[in-house]
Amino acid sequence: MAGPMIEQFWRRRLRHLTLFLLLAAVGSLWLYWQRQNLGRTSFPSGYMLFAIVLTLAAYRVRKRWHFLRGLGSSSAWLHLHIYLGFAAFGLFWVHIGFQWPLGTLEQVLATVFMLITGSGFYGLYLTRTYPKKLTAVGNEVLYEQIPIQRRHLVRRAEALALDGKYQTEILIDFIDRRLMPFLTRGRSFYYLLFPNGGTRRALLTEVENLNRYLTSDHQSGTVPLKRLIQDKDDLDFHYALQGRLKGWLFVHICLTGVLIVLAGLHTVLVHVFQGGV
Amino acid sequence: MTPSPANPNDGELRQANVLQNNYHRPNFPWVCGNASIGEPCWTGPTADGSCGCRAECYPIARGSGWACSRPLHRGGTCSEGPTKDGRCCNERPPCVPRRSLRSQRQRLSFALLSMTLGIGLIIYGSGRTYDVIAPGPLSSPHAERLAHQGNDRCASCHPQAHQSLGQWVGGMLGGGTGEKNITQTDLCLNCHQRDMSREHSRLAHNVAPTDLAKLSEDVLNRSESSSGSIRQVSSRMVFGAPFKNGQPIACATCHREHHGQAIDMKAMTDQQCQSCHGQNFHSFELDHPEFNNWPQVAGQGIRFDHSSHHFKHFPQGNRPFECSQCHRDDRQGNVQQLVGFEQACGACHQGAIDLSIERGFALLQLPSLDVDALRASQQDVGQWPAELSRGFDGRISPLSELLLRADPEAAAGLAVLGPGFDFLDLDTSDGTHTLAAGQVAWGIKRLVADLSLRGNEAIRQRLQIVLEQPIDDQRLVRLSQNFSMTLVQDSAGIWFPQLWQELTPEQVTPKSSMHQKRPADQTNQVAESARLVLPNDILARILNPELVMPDGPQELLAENPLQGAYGASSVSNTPSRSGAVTNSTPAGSANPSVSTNLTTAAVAPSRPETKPNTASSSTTVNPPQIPTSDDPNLLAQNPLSGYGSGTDTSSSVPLEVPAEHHRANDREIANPPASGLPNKTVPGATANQEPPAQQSGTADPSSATPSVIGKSKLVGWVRDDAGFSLDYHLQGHGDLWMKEWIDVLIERQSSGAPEVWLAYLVGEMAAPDKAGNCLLCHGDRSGSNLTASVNWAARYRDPTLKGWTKFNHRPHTLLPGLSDCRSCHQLRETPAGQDSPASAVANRRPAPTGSFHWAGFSKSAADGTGQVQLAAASLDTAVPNPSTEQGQRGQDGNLQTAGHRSDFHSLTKTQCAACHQSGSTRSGCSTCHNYHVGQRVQK
Amino acid sequence: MSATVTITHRPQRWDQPFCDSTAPMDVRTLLEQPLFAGMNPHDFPKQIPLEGILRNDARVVDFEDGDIIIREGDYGSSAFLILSGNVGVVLKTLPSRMLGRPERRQRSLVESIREWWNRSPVAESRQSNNSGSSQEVSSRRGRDGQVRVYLQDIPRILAPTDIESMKAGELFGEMAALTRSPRSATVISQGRCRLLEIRWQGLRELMKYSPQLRQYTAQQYREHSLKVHLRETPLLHGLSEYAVDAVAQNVQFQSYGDFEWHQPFREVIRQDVNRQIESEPVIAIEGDYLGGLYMIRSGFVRVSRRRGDGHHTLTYLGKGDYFGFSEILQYANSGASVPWQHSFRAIGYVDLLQIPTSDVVQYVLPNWPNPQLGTKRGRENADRIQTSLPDQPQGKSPFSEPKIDLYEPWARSAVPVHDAAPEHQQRLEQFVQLRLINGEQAMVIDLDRCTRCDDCVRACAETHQGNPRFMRTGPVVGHHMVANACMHCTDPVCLIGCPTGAIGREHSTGVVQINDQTCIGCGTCSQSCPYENIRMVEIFDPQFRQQVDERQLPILKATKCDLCVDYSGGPACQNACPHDALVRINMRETDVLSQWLDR
Repeated sequence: MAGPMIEQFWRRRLRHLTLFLLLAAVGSLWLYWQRQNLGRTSFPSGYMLFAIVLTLAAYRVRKRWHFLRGLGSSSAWLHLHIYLGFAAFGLFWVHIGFQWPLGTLEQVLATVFMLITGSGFYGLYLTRTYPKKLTAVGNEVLYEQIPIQRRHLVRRAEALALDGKYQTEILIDFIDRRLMPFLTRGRSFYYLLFPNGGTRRALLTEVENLNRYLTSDHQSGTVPLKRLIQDKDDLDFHYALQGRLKGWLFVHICLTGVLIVLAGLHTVLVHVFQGGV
Repeated sequence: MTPSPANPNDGELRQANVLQNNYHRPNFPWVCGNASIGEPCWTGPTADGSCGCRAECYPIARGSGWACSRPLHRGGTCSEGPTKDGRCCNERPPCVPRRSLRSQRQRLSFALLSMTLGIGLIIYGSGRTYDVIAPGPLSSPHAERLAHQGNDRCASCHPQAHQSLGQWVGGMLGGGTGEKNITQTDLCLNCHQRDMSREHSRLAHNVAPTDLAKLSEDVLNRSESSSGSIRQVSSRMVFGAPFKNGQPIACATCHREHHGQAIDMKAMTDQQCQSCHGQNFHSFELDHPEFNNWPQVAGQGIRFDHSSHHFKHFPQGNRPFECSQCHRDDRQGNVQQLVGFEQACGACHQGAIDLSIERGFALLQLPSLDVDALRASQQDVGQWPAELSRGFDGRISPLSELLLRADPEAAAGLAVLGPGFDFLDLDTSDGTHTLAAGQVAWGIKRLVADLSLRGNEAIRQRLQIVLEQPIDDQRLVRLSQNFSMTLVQDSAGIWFPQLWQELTPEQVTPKSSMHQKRPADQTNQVAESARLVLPNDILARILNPELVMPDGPQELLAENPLQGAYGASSVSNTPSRSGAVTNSTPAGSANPSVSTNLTTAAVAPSRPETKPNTASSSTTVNPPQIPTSDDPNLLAQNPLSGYGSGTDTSSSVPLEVPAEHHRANDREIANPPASGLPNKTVPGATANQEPPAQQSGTADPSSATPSVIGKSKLVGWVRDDAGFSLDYHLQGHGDLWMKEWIDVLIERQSSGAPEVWLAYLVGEMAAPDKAGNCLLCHGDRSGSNLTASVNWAARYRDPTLKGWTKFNHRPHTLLPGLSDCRSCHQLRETPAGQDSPASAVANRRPAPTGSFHWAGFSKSAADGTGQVQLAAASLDTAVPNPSTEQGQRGQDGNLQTAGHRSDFHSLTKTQCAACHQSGSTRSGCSTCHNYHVGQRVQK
Repeated sequence: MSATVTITHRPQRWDQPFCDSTAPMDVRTLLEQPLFAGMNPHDFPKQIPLEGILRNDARVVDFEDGDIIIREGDYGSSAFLILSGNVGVVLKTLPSRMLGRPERRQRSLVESIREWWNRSPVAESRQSNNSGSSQEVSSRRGRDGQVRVYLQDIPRILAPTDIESMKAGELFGEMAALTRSPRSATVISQGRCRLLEIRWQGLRELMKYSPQLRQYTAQQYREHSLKVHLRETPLLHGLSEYAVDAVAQNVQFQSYGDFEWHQPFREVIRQDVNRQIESEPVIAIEGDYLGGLYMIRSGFVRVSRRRGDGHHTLTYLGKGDYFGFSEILQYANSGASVPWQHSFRAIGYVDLLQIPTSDVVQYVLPNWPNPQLGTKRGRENADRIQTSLPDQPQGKSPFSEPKIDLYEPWARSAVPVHDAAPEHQQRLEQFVQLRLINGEQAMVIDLDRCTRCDDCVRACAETHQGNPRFMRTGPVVGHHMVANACMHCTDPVCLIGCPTGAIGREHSTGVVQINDQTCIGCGTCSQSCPYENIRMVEIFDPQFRQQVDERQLPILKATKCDLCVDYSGGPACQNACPHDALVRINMRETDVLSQWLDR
C-alpha cells in the first residue's frame, strides 16, 4: 500500500546503485586478493556466480507461487534480479578470465549464459522503454484480446458500409478494396520488427484524396474511416510491441533450466577434475 | 466508460472489452481455438485442453415454442431465437483450443531441458564424454604424449577420471572420492620423476620449509632492504591465504593445463612469484637489488689463472690472449665449450710434458744386488741376472712397489726398507736390512712370475689386495693398457732363466685377502649411489668429506649428449688413437660431437714422423674404445646415461671416466667380455694398418712391442732388456693409463688410508714436478696438499643441479655489442710475480662479503637446497664452512667456487638493466631465476 | 451436452431471512410497538407487506449490561429499535481495543499453499446447491449477534456526562444505515435490553412507505447524533454544552444531488467537462451571498473557480471537510459582508449540515482556535490570523487565494488557478469528472512502467481460487490507468439495492465485500457500480458443468476485488507488480496521490 511518503525513483535508484557498487567493489577486491595469493579465483568466483544464478532463477519461483509473497514484493525481487544480473555478467567474465572458454561443455555453458544475460539486458531495455511508446499510442488493449478488437473493427467497417450515407461506390469501393484487407490482415514480419506508420499514412492520404470525388455530406463520412484506420494501426502497433515484451522471455526463461543443469554439471566436473591437489 | 480526452479513440476499443464482458484469465493454460479470429466462445476450453464450448443458451420451453435464455451480460435474448427442436440457434462446432503463450513457454523450457539431459546422456553413453567435458585442448607436449590413450587419457592426470558420474557427485558432496590418496601432483610426477623427487615436489622451491625459512631469514637479515614480507601479514587475513606456511603447493597451482596447445605452461608471471615474495619488485631496473658477485666462477677444474696468462705469459710469448682460443660456442651458443689441451695449452705446455715423460714409468725395474753379500748374510736370492749382481744399486719403481705390497713377504721387506728405498743405502751389516732385501728380491721374482703367469689378472688381484677395493674390467683395461703377459714371459725368460725351477705357480700368486668383486656387486654399489640425489643429499655430501660430489659433464647432456664426457675424453686421447678414430669410422666424422677429435686429428700431423710408429703402436691402444667411443647413436639412445653414470659413481674420477664406463658397459651389452681382458679384437688396428704386410703382426701383440723403436718416441709398453725394466711410455697429455693409476691411488688415499707409502706413491706418480706434471694443472686448487682430489676436467658443472639463477649466452653474444666476452667479463689485474698458477692459487683470497642477491623470501617454505644455496652463498661471504672444498663442485654457474675469487670482476645490475628494462626486453623474475631448485633425480 | 448443467433452486429475496427464528407471534407483538402501530399497513405494496419486512428484514436481539451494540466508526447496515430496557450513547471516542473489534482472520502460509494446491482448474467453480444453509452466513451473523463484546467497569471509563441514555421505543443507528456512513457513536446496553435490529433494506422500505418515520428520524438525528457529529468536528471543539445545543438547534440539513446518482452517471460523464459542471447541483456559487458554514456529512463537493467561460476545478471535498469558514472569519474581522470566493457543487449525492453565519460568529469564533485543536498547523494558523487581522485593509476583498489555506485544511491541496500545471489540472478534472475521487482503494497503474505482463491479474486469480477479480482495463488519465477493480468507494453506491445484503462493507476496514453465499446474482450491484468494477459470472461446478436453475437459466454471481483482506501483505496485485507500476491508493488523500503519480 502506498505509504504516506512515497519514495521517488531516482532516490531509490541512487541508494541501490551505491549499495551495489559497494558490494561489487568488496567482492572484486577479495577475488583480486585471492589471485594475489596464487589462489584459484575460478572457484570462489564460480560459486558466487552459481549462487547468483540460483537467486536470479528463484525470482521465477517467487513469481510463480504467489503464496511466497512473504519473501518480499515482486518489485523488490525484480530490483535484486536486475542488479544481480549485472553482477553476474561482470562476475562471469572474471570467472572465465576474460577469455572465451575452449572446452565444449564450457563453451555451451557460456553461450547459454550469454544468451540469457543478453536477452535479460534486451528485456530490461524493452521494459523500460516500450511502455512509454505504448502509452503514447493510447488505445490500451490486452494482448490476448487484440484479435477480438480487430474483429470489432471489421464489424464497425461493415456497419459503415451498410450505413446510408456511405452509399457511394467510391467509399464502398474504398472500404471493400483497401480498408477491409487492411483491417482483416495482419502485418508483415518487417512491421513486427520495425513498427512504423507508413501504411497508415498512405491510407489516410488516400482517404483525403477521396474527398475530391465526394459530395460535402459524403465527405463527413470519411472521418470514421480515418478513425478505423488509426485504430487498426494502433492495434497492430500494440500487437508488435506487446508481442516483443512477451517474446524476449522465451529466450530468457526457457534457457534457465538448461543453464542451471549445465552449471551444476560443470560444478561437479571441476570438483572431480580439479588440479592443484 | 468515458473516453478520456487524452485518447479520443479509447472509447470504442474498450467498449468492445466491456461487450466481451468476462474476466480475462491469463492464468489459464488454454485459449479458445476461435480466439485468434476474434470469436472466442464465452466458456473457453476445459482444463484438459478440450473444447469447452457450449450453446449460448439453453432455450426455455414456452408453451408450443422455445424462448432464448441468453443472460443479459451476454447480450440478452438473441433475435432469431431457438430452433424448432428447442436448441440454441448459434451452436458452434467445437474448436481446437490453443495453448496460451505462457504455457507454450513452459513447454518450450521443459523441451529444452529434457533435450539437454538427453544429449548429455547420449554423450555419456557414447565414448566421447571426455572430448566434451575437457575444458580445453592440452598443451602440445602433453597432447602428443596422451594422443593414443583415447578416452582414459584423462585418468593419467585426474585420479577420479575413471569413476562414474554417481561417484563424482557423491565424492563432491561427501568429499571422499575414494581416490583421495592419489593426488594429481603424484600423477604429474609419474612422468616428471626426473625433474624432482616426490617428497620435495610439493614444497615451495622444492625446499624444506624449515630450511627455506632459515635461508630467507638469513637473507632478510643480510639484505639491506629487509622490507619483510607482505604476504606474511596477508596470509593471516580472515579469508585465509591459499598458501600458509609450508602448505604443499601442487603443480597445477602454477602450471595450468587445458589452455590450448600453444600455451607455454612453464611461463610464469612476476605476479605469481610475488604472491609469495612479499617484497614486490615493480621492475628489474628499478628495485631489483644489486647483485653481488655474479656470475661467480663456475667450478673451474684446472688451476688456470686467466689473469697471469693474460697479463704475463701471453705477452711474453707475444701471443694475443683471445677468449675464443679456448672458449667456443657450443651448439646452444653458450660460450662454455672448452677446446682441448692441444689447442688451448699444448702450444706452450706440450713440450714440458713430453720432456717429463721422456723416460717412461717402470712397471718392473730390477734393482742391482750384491748377491754375494746377501749370501754372506744367509740371504739367497736364487738366480739373479749377472749384470745386476755387482753391488747394491737402483730403486724399486713405484708401481712395482705398489704391486709388491700385495705379497706379504715382500710387503714385510718393504716395510723395513721404507717407501722409495734406494738399494745404494742398503746396510749390509744390518741383518734386518739384508733380510728385507732378500724378501723384496724374492717378491720381485714372484711378481715377474706372477705377471708372466697371469698378466692383467695379477695386476688386478694385487691391486685389489693392496688398495682393498675392487677393480672392475674397465679399470683394469685402462690400468694395464693392453699389457700382455707374453711381454713379461719374454723378460722373465731372459732375466730369470731358472725362474720356474725356483718357484712353483702356487707360490707366486699371493693369497688374496679379499676375493674379487664381480660387476654384479658393482651394480648394486652403483644402485646404492644412484638413490635420489637430492639437494640435501648434496648438502650432506658437502658437509662430510668422504662422500664426494659426482661430476657431471660441462653442459646439459639433454642439450648435447656428447659434450662433456665424450668430448673431453676424446680430447685427451692420443693423436694416434684419434687418428684411428678419424680413419676408422666415417660415422665418427659424421657425428658432430667428434669435432674435438677432428681438432686433435689436426694436431696429429704436427709430428708426422711418428705416424707409422704410432700406427703400429696403435694396436696397443685399447681397441674397444674405438667403436664405442665414436658410436653416436649409442649415446643418442640414452642421452642421460653419459653423465648419468657420471653421477652414479661415487669416486672422484673425472667425468670422462664414468662416461667411458658407460660406453664400455654399452659395448659389453653388445659384446660380452670373453675374459678379464676382453680386448683381443682389434678392428681399429686393422682399420689403420697402413702397410697391409703387417697384418700378421697384429695377430700377436707381442710382436707389436718393437724394441727397435727410438726410445724418445716410444709409446705403450716397452721392455728394456738392457735396463732390466718393463716400462710404460705415456702417450702424452691425457694418457688414460696415467690417469687411471693416479685415480686408483688417490681414491684409496681420499678414502682415508693413512699409509705413508701411499702418500709417497701418489707423490711419485703425480707430483707437479714428476713425470707428466699432471697435478700441476689438475691438482687441487687449494694447492696445499695433494691428497684432496684431482680435477681432470677443465670445468665442473652439474647440469642436473638447478640453482636460483640461469643464464644463456646465445641471445647475448648475438648482439654486436656483446660479442666480445670482455664487454661483460673483465679480468682482474693480478699482482706481478704471481705467474705460476700454483702460487696464484695460493694467493687467492675469499671473495668479499655480500648478501645473497634475491632477498625477501616469505618464510613459507624451504629445503636442503635452500641450505645448499645458503651455504653456497655463505661460501663467497667468507663464512668458514667445511663444505668449502666440495661445495665448489657440482653447483651450477651462480655458485662461487669456494675459497677462490673469480678471475673476473662480477657483473653489476646496471650492465643488465641497460637492456633488460620492462617494456623493451624481458625482465621478469623468471628471465633469470629458477623456481625449481635442486638436483634432477637420476634413475 | 446434457451433462453440462445441474438443476438447482434459484435464490429469492428473503430466502435468507435476517432472523432465522422469528416466530409469527413475535411479529404480532412487534406491530404493537408505537413505531409500527403508527404505520398504515395499506401504504405498503402487497409484495412487500409490513409483516414481511418485519419478519424478514428484522430480528430481535438481547443484550446484557455493558454489551456493545454498535461501535463508533463501524459501517452499519442496520438500525435498532429499543423494545425494552435502556441503551446509552457514548459521547466520547473510546479506544478501539476497548471496543474489542474482532481480529480479521488471516490465512497462514500453509493454508494459502493448500488453497493454491486445491484451486480448481475450472473457472468460477462452486460446489453446486450451496445457496441454502451455509456456515458462512450463520457465523457471520454470529459475529454480529452471538459474539458479544462488553465494557467492564463502565463508571471508571465513562463519566455519567459521557453517556446519553435512550429509552424503549426509540430508534437509533438509522442515519448511518441510510447514508451508508460509519456509525457516529458507540452505543452500549445499560442493564439488559431487547432490541429490534432492522437491516437497511428493510429500513429503506419503511421510510419509503411511512412519512411518520421520515420525520421521526430527522428529529431523532437532530437530538442525538447531530451533537455527537458537531463535537467530532475539529472546528467546533471545545464549544460549551450550551453552545453545541444552540448550534444544533439551528443546523439545517441539506442534501444535494440524486441519492442514486449512479443511474444517470453513464450519460453524464459522456458530456463535455464544462457542461457536466454546469449540470452539477450548485451548493454555493462564487460571488453569491454567504449562506453560512457548510459541513459535509457524505458525498463529494467540487470546488471550482470561474475561468473565462469555463470552470477551473481546484479540488474536491469529501466527508468531514467544511467550507465557508474563511469567508465568515473575514466577514467577522472586516465587518464587510463577504461573498463566496469559490463555487461549490455537489458531485453525486451530497449530505450537508449548514450552520448559519450568525451562529458561527456567535458561538464558534470566540472559542477558535482553541488549544485542543491539536494540529501544529492549526496553532500557527491561529497566530497568523491574530497578527494578520488588525491590518486588514477595509473594503477590498482580503481573499487572495494564498490566504485561504490559513483557515481551511482542504485548500492545502487546492492548486491556485494560475499555478496549475496543465497536465495536473487535466488529471484532476478527469478524476473528478469520472468520479474516481470516490475510490479509497483505487487501483492505479502507471502505464509508463507497466509492461502489460498481467502478473497482477495472475496473482489476483491465485488468491481467489484461480479466478481474477478485476480487469486490467479502465479509464486512462494521462499515463495512468485506473483499472476496473473495485475501488471500495467512500460512497459505495453498489450497496444500494442489494436485496439480500450480500454486498456490504466490512466493519473495521471499510472493504466492500460480496458474500458469495448470499448473492442471488440479480446484478443490481453490478449495474449500480458506475465504474463497471463488479462482474457477473456464470458459475460452474468443479466438473465444469454449468449451474442453471430449473428454468435452464444460468445462475450468476456478482464478483469483484475484495482487496485480499484474508491475506497478509496487502492486495496481491500490488504485491505482484514487478515494476512498481500498480498501487492501491486512496483518491481522497490528494497529496499522497499526487506524490505517487509524480514519482
